Amino acid sequence: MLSADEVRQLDRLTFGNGNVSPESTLSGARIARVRGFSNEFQDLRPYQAGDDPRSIEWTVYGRLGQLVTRTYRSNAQLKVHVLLDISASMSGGVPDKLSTGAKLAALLGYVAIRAREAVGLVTFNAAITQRFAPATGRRQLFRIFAALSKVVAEGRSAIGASLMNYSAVEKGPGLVVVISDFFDANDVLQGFHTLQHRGLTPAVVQLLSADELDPSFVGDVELVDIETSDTVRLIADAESISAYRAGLDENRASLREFCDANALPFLQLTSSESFADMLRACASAGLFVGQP
Amino acid sequence: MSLRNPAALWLLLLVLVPLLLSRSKPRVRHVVSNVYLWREAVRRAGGRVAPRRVRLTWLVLVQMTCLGAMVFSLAGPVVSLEGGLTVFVFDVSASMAARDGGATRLDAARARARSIVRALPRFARVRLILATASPRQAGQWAASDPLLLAAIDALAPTAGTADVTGAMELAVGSGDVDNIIVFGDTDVAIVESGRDSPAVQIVRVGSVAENAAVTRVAVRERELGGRAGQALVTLRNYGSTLRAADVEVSVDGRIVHRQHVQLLPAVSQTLNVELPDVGHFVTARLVGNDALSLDDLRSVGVPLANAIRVALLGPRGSFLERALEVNPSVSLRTYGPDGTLQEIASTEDFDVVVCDRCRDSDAEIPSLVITRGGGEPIHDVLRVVSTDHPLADALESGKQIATAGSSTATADRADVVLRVGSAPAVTASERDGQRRVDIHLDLTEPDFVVSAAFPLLVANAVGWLAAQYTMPSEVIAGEPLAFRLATTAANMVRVLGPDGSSRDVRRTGGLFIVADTEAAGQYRIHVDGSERLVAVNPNVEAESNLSAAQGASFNRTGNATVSVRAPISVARWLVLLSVGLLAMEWRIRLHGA
Repeated sequence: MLSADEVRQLDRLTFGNGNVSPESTLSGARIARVRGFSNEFQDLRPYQAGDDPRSIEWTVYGRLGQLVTRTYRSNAQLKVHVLLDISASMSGGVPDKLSTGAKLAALLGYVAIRAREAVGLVTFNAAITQRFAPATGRRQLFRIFAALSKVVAEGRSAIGASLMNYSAVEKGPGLVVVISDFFDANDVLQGFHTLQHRGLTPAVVQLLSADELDPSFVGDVELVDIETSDTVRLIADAESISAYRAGLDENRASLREFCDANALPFLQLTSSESFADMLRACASAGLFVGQP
Repeated sequence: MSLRNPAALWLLLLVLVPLLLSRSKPRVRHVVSNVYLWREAVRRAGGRVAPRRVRLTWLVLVQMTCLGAMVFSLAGPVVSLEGGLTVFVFDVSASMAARDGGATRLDAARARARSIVRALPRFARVRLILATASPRQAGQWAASDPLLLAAIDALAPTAGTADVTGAMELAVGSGDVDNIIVFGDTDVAIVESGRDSPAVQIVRVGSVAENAAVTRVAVRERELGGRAGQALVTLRNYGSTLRAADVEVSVDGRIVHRQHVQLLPAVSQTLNVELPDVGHFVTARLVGNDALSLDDLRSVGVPLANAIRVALLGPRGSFLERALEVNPSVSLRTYGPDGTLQEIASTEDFDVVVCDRCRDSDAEIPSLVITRGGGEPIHDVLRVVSTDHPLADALESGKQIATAGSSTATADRADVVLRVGSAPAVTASERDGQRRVDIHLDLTEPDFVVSAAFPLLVANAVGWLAAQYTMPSEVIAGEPLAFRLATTAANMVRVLGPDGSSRDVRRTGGLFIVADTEAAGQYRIHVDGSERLVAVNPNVEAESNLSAAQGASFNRTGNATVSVRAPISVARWLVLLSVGLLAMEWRIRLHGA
């Protein structure tokens, strides 16, 4: 999935904090915002019933006669959920959007695993087709790579419904990177809202092909939906293509506005994007920190 | 061209299917990730959906033609390039003028004919034959030719009868006929016989109707040379109810008598009308309203009462001369026995020449020739051997003794009217339209010549000889008007019909014939500046009885429906065409147009 050169570029990257809360129940390299059980001292506080007696600072009790408990900083892990749209519409573009999306998912997985974060992979079209729960370790990475190498674009899209279904089985905190072209006439944002409601932080990666951004056909054409086989006849001229672009811009703008309003990462990539550009886009969106 | 299954033409709508399918197929198909944005774009662009324009490519054209050929073959098209020949035989007899409701029988026949013409194939030919007393062809047209309908509309009833059988035989004999359709009020009995006869269809028009007619008009002068006379008018009611009507008798167009009559059904009634002056043309008219007005008028020409101009060549003071002199209808001129008939005929017009033992007995005018006969004289009883001959009129057989030659030779084809023993005594002959009477008796013997029978024989002979130049006073419509003239050239004879138009006059020797007498009325015969009037009257015997149809019979085989000869089915060719087009379509598809 990744070449040696690409891996070298990824070695210096980690997931940014953003507003994503790391999972404190998992021991990781990331400092949790809550107290935990690491060896790193954080603070003293009055004893409360139920505190571990081993954490009582006996020296303070001996000197002052007050029960004071030691608190330690927790070592947290970031749970990264990579949701890859494998509907038929992802087969468009040169290279196709799915392979680019799979590349992105792979690099996200690699960066996460290397930073000892937990990463999971979910593929979906109208429903969730494959799911690897977030986990750490190289075996998880290899599982993810193996799964990504086998994905095939098929089926219809139901992005909002798939996100809601995923919300039912997963809860936050965690970063949910949704990679899709987001061509769904139904309400996609509802799925993001549901993810947020479950404590998950969505990151939106909209992947489009060059043809979708700039249609090349002209004249009397019949357009066939790759997923539904619905057709539209039209005269593709400057006016109609301009109208299409306006609609596409509105689609993208609605996603961007949602992400901006919720301080969520938002990336817009083309399927022909180079690896370096892809990393730069991720970095500029706040997904990664560090220099590739 | 006609179709056996016209309903299949509805399937021609299928021809539009390839066109519609080609409309629904755009030129370029593009697979896109979504169409909802494009739908929105179309909506934004003001509904600029690609128009469903027709893309009539070669492929579509071939497909449409293939489908059209297949569907058209299902309709069963048949063509008859020769079109078939249908003969319309129209009964145009007087009875076809009878009113039947608001129209005449001929009108009804015309209407039926028009509907049949419309049903005939376009290329069918229609020949029109008029069933008159002498059937004749009126022409031949294509069924689609408007002149055919014009000719049918122009048909008019004649005053004569109709020889329907003759007309049908004329139709059969006039060419390769497929159908014969007879329009008329005559019941035609079709007798099955023979093979390859055309189909015959009888279109019977008319129904039973009340009718009365003037069946006879005769005029006679009371005395020779006088003008007063008597008209005999016979009326007949052919209907089944009592008929009251007025009868008008007019002389030369002037009404001289009017009388009210009650006509009993199926009974003839005769009126005697005294005429102070018989004039030249007497007409009787039945005033009233019945089904057929054509037979309510009947006329007769009054014959000229001129004396018979007779020239006698022979010794003066003979019994023969005396027999001629006592005849009041004879104007006699006598010549010596040395003259010849040719000389006399060239000097003056005579109706009859009497040659009593003269040298030359051959003349171009009717002649009575007296010879003694050859051989030993025979004295014997005079016997009438041809009692029906006009010469024997009022003569009694076996009452008189006469003297004739025992070995008298007779002319070829001469009728022996009287004999003395076995020898011919009086013969009558007619050769090349020329009449001649030979009396082979010895008129010097005081036996037969002193009896009352001799002037009777001479009067009969002169009357028979002169009668050939008598102009007929009336003719039945449809029958030829024939008359003899002595020496007049044909171009000096002119006959005008009742409509004032000239009729064609044919001459055979001294016989003149006018064949076209289908219109009833007054015919004027102009001869050398003089005029004779002849009445042509309707054929009441055959046409006036509208309560019973006349009958005719005709031999034929085949069905009685109109058919078109040897229709050629185009269906198989259309199927072949469609298969060929299908192959072409495949080739276009495989290799590109």
